[in-house]
Amino acid sequence: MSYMINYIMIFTIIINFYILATSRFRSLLKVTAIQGALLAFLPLLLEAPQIETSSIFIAVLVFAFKGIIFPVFLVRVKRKVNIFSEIEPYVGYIYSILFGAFAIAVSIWLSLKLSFLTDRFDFKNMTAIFTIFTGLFIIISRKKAITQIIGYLILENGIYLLTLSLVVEIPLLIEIGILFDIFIAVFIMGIAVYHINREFEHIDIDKLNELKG
Amino acid sequence: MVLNEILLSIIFISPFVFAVLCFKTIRNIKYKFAALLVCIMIEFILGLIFIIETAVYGPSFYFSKWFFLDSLSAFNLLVLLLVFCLASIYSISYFNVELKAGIINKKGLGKFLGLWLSSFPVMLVVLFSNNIALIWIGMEATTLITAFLICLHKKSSSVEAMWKYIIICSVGVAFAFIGIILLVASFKVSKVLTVNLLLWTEITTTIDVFNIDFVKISFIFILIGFGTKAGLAPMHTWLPDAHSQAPAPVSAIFSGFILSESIYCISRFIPIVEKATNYSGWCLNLILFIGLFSLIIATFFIPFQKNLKRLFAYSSIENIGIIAVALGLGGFGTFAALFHTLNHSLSKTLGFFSAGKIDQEYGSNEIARINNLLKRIPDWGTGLLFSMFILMGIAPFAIFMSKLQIIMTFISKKLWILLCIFLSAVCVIFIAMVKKILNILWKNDDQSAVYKNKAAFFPIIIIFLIAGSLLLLSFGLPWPLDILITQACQIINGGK
Repeated sequence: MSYMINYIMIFTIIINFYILATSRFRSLLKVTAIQGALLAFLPLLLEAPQIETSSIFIAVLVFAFKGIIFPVFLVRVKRKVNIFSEIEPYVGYIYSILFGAFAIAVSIWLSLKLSFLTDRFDFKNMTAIFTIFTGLFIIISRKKAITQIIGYLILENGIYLLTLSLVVEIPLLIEIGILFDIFIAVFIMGIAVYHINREFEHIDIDKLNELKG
Repeated sequence: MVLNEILLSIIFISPFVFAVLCFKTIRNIKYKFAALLVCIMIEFILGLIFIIETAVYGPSFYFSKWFFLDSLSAFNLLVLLLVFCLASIYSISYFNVELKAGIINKKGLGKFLGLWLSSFPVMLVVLFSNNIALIWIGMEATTLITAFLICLHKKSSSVEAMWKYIIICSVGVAFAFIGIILLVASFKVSKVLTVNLLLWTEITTTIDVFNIDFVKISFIFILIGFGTKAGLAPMHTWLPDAHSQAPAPVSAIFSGFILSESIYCISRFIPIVEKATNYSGWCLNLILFIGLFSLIIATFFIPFQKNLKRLFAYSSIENIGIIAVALGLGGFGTFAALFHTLNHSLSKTLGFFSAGKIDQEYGSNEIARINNLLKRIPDWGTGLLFSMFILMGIAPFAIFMSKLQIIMTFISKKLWILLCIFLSAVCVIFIAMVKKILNILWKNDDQSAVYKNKAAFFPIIIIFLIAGSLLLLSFGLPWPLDILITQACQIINGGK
């Protein structure tokens, strides 16, 4: 089963590079959804072959929220504010990919430091840290408010992966609570973007610079 | 125990019920306000029952140990009850004026009351929870529910402030969650204890072996994460915008309670990290330096503030920095930190109430536009001057006392250079605030104007209550409060 986990990790890393390189919202949303949906299968693969019912329940919930509900909701928000692509980010796309390469190197180094039980390099740790870096980078380097929401989703994907990879056993109720919290967060951020658009006629956070000092 | 669990359920669920009532069901404005008053009365009485029970009988557990109340939580619960009930009562008169002026309509008022009442139980969840992941869920939920309270008045600046608040605080709280995960991962336990792994009481008592490096890394994440929500520099950038753009009762609950709630979350982790690092004081030094940094940042910004609410927001950053410095000193400093929390909450609440009324009377919060203050608004004008004087640290009010206690702790630990930095920062802020107060007091351009406002009854009561209690607190804590704070200090200092 571990080879399937490795495939999922490699796929997640490729998705992260794609996210760093793309400017189109629809593709951003699609790949973030695929990333979330892939992560939903991880608890099942980690516990195989003795899978508990609570893991199946969590996997279904995570798949539903991250794979279906979040992208559908964000597509509706995108349609209401009428934006199609991120035209001029703070950090250009080529430099973003270079950052991605640098971030992978740092993630490998960090996960070696974090190696808990063995001194070997743990793929899941590395992917988790890299996903967190990607999410944070998207939040700070992109100008549209919706892209910041997507960056937050990627950050939360990375945190979920870190939780799974550090073998932390979190009670079912807490997992549901965290998922619900993220759902409310995305919901509220979506409504906030709609308010920004109504007030400003754009969703460029670059132009939100009235309050200074 | 069952009775307590029933009361706990009521204290959590009834604000949601009232929130739905105020939002949709009740059409009449007077009945909406009446429902608000009924709700806060229920919450106040129930909360006091829990606080007194904890002060007399000690900590108690509910719902299979996921919820508990010890002296530290009980003290913060007391601060929450005071600030929330005062702010709710104030919001009645505040929104009455706005309804008459047409700034807000019945639907907007319903939205405010619904969000306001829903934010109370999520703040309670953070205080009552024993489960460290539940603390995180409560903090994130607090961020989300209070976000739309900021942009209640739809202006471009308030929408901008709301967006900054949501993004910065959500990312910050996500960092805190990484810290919690790393902390739990650092326990070297067998499978048996997994069920209680996230319970704070279990972590501090039974779990003995930690991986020290993991614990240190996790504490840095927790400090940065919850420090974002607390307004510690350099994660404070959302604070001046959010507190200045929000309506006055919301600013009061932000500065008065939510900032100190985040400091409460950090202080929950101090005994764990201290025990793991063998009481070397590593985490306390970190908190001390970040507190001093916040104080210095606030010192650079306060003299240049032209907006009254923004000035109060930077003063909040300063005071949270002072609380962090006191926490980081340890020993007697912990007592000073908790005492300062109470004093700051009360005085900042009064300050924001007055700033709200000034905004309504003058049309803006610019200090330069405040003209003939004591003639035009005799009651809240006096309140503003009282609050600015008290916040500066003038004797004989309580903030002077708590700052004095912190200086005494510095001297007893012989940290002379840090004491000099602390004193110079506090003095610069003192001078800046005096200058602003004199500007306000001596601006009487239109001597002959006659204003209709007479000092009203309720404002005078609130101002005297707050200023009077701050005066009395400086002379001595009442005995039950003294016991509560001392026990809370013992919890943070880990029984050392």
